[in-house]
Amino acid sequence: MQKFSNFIINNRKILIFIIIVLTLIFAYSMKNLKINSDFASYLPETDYAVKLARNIGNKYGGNLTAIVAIENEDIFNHKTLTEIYNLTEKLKYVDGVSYVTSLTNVIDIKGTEEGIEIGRLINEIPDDQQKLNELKRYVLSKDLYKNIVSRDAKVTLILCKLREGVDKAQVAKEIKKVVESEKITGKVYYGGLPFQMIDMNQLIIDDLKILTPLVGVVMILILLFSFKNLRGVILPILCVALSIIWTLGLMSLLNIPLTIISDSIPVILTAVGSAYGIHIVNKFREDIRITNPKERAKIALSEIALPVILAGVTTIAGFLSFVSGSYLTMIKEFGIFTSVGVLFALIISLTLIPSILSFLKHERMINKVSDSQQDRKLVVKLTKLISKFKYLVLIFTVLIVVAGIVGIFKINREVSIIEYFKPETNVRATEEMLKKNFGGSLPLYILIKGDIQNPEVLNEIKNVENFLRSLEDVHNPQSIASIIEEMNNAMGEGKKIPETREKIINLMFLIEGEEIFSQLVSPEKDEAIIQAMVTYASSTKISELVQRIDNYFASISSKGIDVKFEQTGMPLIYKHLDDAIIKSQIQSLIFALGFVFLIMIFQLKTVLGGLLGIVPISLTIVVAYGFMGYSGIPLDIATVLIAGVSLGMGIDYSIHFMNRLKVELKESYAFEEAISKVLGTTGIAILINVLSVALGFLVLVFANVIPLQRFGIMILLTMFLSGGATLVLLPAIILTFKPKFLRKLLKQVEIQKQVEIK
Amino acid sequence: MRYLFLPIALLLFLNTSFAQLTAVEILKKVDEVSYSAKDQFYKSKVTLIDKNGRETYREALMYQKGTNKRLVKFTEPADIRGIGFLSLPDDVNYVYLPAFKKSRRIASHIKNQNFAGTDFTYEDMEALTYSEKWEPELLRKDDSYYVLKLTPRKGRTSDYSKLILYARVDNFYPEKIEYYDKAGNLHKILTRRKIQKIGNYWVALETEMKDIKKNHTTKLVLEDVKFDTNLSDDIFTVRNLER
Repeated sequence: MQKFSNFIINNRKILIFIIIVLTLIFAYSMKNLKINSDFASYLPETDYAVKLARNIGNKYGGNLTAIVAIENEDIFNHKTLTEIYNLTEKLKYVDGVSYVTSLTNVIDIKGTEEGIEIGRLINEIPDDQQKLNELKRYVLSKDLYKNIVSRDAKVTLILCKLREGVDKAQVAKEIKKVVESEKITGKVYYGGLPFQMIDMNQLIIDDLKILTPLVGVVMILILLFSFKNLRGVILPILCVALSIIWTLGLMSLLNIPLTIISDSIPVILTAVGSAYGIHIVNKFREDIRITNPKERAKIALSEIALPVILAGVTTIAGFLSFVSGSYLTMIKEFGIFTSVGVLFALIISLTLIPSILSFLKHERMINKVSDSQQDRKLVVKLTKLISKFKYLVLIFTVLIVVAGIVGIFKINREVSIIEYFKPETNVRATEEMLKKNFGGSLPLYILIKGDIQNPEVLNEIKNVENFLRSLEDVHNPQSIASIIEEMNNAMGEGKKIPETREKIINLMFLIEGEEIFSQLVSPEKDEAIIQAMVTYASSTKISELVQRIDNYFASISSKGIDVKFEQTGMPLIYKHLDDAIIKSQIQSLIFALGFVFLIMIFQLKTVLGGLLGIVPISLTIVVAYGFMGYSGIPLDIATVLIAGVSLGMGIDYSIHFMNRLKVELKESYAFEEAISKVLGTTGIAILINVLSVALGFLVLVFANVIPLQRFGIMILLTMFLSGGATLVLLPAIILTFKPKFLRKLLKQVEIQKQVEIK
Repeated sequence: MRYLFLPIALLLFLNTSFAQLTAVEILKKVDEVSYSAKDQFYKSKVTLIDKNGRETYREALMYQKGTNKRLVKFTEPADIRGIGFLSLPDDVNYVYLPAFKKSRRIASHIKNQNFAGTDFTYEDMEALTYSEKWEPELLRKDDSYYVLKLTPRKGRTSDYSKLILYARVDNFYPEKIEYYDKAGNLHKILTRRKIQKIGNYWVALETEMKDIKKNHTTKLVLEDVKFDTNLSDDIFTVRNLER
C-alpha cells in the first residue's frame, strides 16, 4: 500500500488532469441518455414467453394494445360517433399502429330473411334518435362488441394494436397527439401498457431530476454537521458527483437506457460512494505528526487504502451478484452499472481526494481534542454497557432472527407495472375504469396450431373459448370460431361450427379480406389466436391463472385431434418475470453472501473470522425480509435488489470494524479496551456513514415510482440494522466468545507467551 | 384596386366555368371508353399479395352485360371452386356457397366491404358510370394525362372523399385512379397496364389495386377477353349462379 500511495501522491497533478478530462467527456455524452420502461424488454430476448409474444406480434399485427376510451352520457349520438369515425381513420395512419378497431369500423355479421350481411357495424352514422337507439340496442345485444362498448353505453374504446418492434412509448405519444387534436366531446382516457409506459418514463425522469439533487443536499447537511468543516463536505460530494457523471455518461455511450430501477443509480452512488470519501477524509483528520502535507498524505493514504478498497470490492460484489444471479436484463444492467459506478467512486476517492488534500495544509480542529476526550468517555461507557448486557443482546438477536424467518414466508410478490403507480395517479384511475367496464387491459393470447379449417379444430377452439369465459379474471375472448358460428347462423344453419371443412372454407373466403380475420388467423390458416382481456389482481393470481390455463390445455391434449394450444401475452410474461424475480433473489443472495464471506476470510485469515464478519449482515438480511413479510412490502423489481445492495454496503462496516479492531488489539491489553477504541474512531465513521446513507435513501420515500419508494425504505432499514449489528452485536459476540484468532493479537498475550517461554 | 379586382374576378369566373365544362366532357369520354361494350367475358387470374409478400392465387370467370349485370365464378384453386357472385340492377347481389348449396343475398348497402379478399370493394365494382356518381374538376392537363378530381355527387354516398383520376390524353382511358378516404388520406391506388385495343374497345390486360393502409395488393391479369358476344340474360340468374 505504501507504493500505491506514493504513486498516487507523486503523480497527483496528472491524475487530477485526467479526471477532469474524463469528466468532461462523460458529461457531454450524458445528453443522449434514453429511458425504457417496456416490461417485455426486462426479460431476455431468449425467454420463451417473449419469443412467443413476438411471434404473435409479427404474425397478427401486434400483441400490445393502446386503448383510447371515450366516456360521455350516451356514446350513441351523432356527434360522438362522427368523432370516433374521424379519429379511427386518423389513427390508422399513425406510424407503428397496425390495426385500429372501434365502433365505427368493427365488422358486423348479420343473417336476415333472405340473405347475409357482412360489413361494418356502422356504415352511415345515423342522425335521428330512433335509428341511434336501434343501433344501441343491437350493439349491446351482441357479444362481439362487449370489448369495445360498456354495458351502460357510456364508454367506448378505440383499440390501437401496435406493430411488433416499434418504440411503444413513442407510438403512444403520437396516438395521444392525434386524439388531443380531435377535440373529442366527453372524457378521454388513455389505457393499456403503451400509455402506461409514457407515464412511467415521465415519472422516471421526474424522480431522477428531483431525487438526485435532494439526496445531494441531505448528504451535504449530514457531512457539514459531522465534520464541521468544508473539506469533509466538498471532497466526498465531489467524488460522488463525478462518479454519477461518469456512470450515466458511460451508459449513454453504450446505449443502455435508464429503467424503473436504474434511475436509482445516482441515489445509490451518492449514498455508497460518499462512504469512501468520508473514511479517507476522516483518516486525514486524525493526528499524524508530520507537517509536510505531501508526506502526511502518503502516510494517511497507505493506512486507509486497503480497508477502503476491500469495502469497495465487497460493494461491487454485492451489485455484481445481480449480474450472475439474474435472468432479467434490467437487473443485470443495474448490477453492471452500479458496480461500475462504485468502481468509479472508489477510483476517484483514492486518487482525487488524497491528491487534493496533499495540496492543502493540514487543518487541526481546535476543539478536536476536547471532543475526543468526551468521545472517549462516552465510548468507554458504551462498551461497558455492551459488555454488561452481552447475553441479553445475543438472546434478543436470536429472537429477532426467528421472527424474521417467520416473516420471510409471508412475503408477497408484485410484477405489474400498474402496481408501480401510486393510487392517486391517472393511470390507476383509467385502469379501474377499464376493469369496471371491460374487465381490464391486459391482453391474453392463446395460440392454436392446427388446421383452422377443420371443424373439429374449430370446435376445440370454441371449447377453449368457453373455458376462458368461465374464468373469473378473463373477459371477452374472441376467436375465428365465434365469427364462423355467426356466419353459419347467417347462412341459416344455426349458431354452431359447420360440420364440413368445405363449408368452413366457403365462409372464410367471404371474410378473408377483413381486418379482423388477419388479426385472428394466420395467412396459411395453420394457426389462429384467441384474444382476451385479463383483469390484473395480483402477481400471485396471475400466476395461478396461467397455471390453470396450462393445466386445461394439458387435459385436452389427449383427444386425438391434431391441435396444439399455447398461451402467451402479458400474463405469461408476468409469470416469467415473477419466477425470474424469485430466482434472481435466491441466486444473487447466495452469490453475494459467499463472496463477502471469502473477502472476510481473506481479511481476517481465518474461517471463523469470516463467519464472524458476515454475522451482522446475515442478520440484517433476515430481519429486513422478515419486515417485508410483516409489513406487506412485496418482492418486486426493486426490492429484489435489497439483499445485494445491503450486503454490499453493510459488509463495509464489518470490514472497517474488524480492520480497526486488529490494529487496536495490538495496542491494548483487553478486549474492552480495544473495542472502546474502535468504537471511538471507526465506530464514529460508521455511524456517520449509516446516518448519511440512511438519510440519503430516505429521500427515495418521495419517489413517484412505488418500487423505488419501497427500495428507499428498505435500504434505510438495512443500513440501520447492519450499522447497529456491527456496533452492538459484533462487540457483544466478540466479548462473549473472545475468539482465539483475535486474542492472539492482544499485548498481554505476548507477555503471557514470554512468561511461558521462561 | 377596384379596377384591378374586376378583371381578375372575371377571369377567375371564366376560367372555372370553362374548366367545369371540359371536366364534365372529359369524364363522359372516360365513361365511353370504360363502359361502352354491350357485354364482355374474360378469364381473370387474381393474385393477392399481403404485407409480408405472401401471394394467394385464384382464377375466376367473369361475365358482364351492360353496366349492371355481372357474374363471377371462381374456378381455382379447388377448395373455392364454384363460389360465385351475381350482381343485378338496383343493387341486388347474391353470393353462392357450393358447400352449403345455397345462395344468399348480400346486403346492398355494404359497399365498403372488400370483394372476396381482394382490394376491390363492392363500391369499386359498382356498375355506375363515373359521371353518374362523381362531380369532376379538372386539376391539370399535361402531355399524357388529364388529371381529374372527382367528388361524390349530391345524394350519392361513397366511402371515398375524392378520387384523382388520370385519363390518357390520346384515348381517355383511365390509367390510374387514386382513392382518398373520408379523412382525406390516400387509401388506394389503381393502376392499369398493357392497355390494348381488342375489337372496338380499349382494355387493360393488367390491373393492380394497392391498398396503402393495409399494404395489400391485388393483381388481375385478363385472358380470353371477348366483347359483344350477345351474352344471354339466362346467364345472369340465381339458377345459373347455383349451377
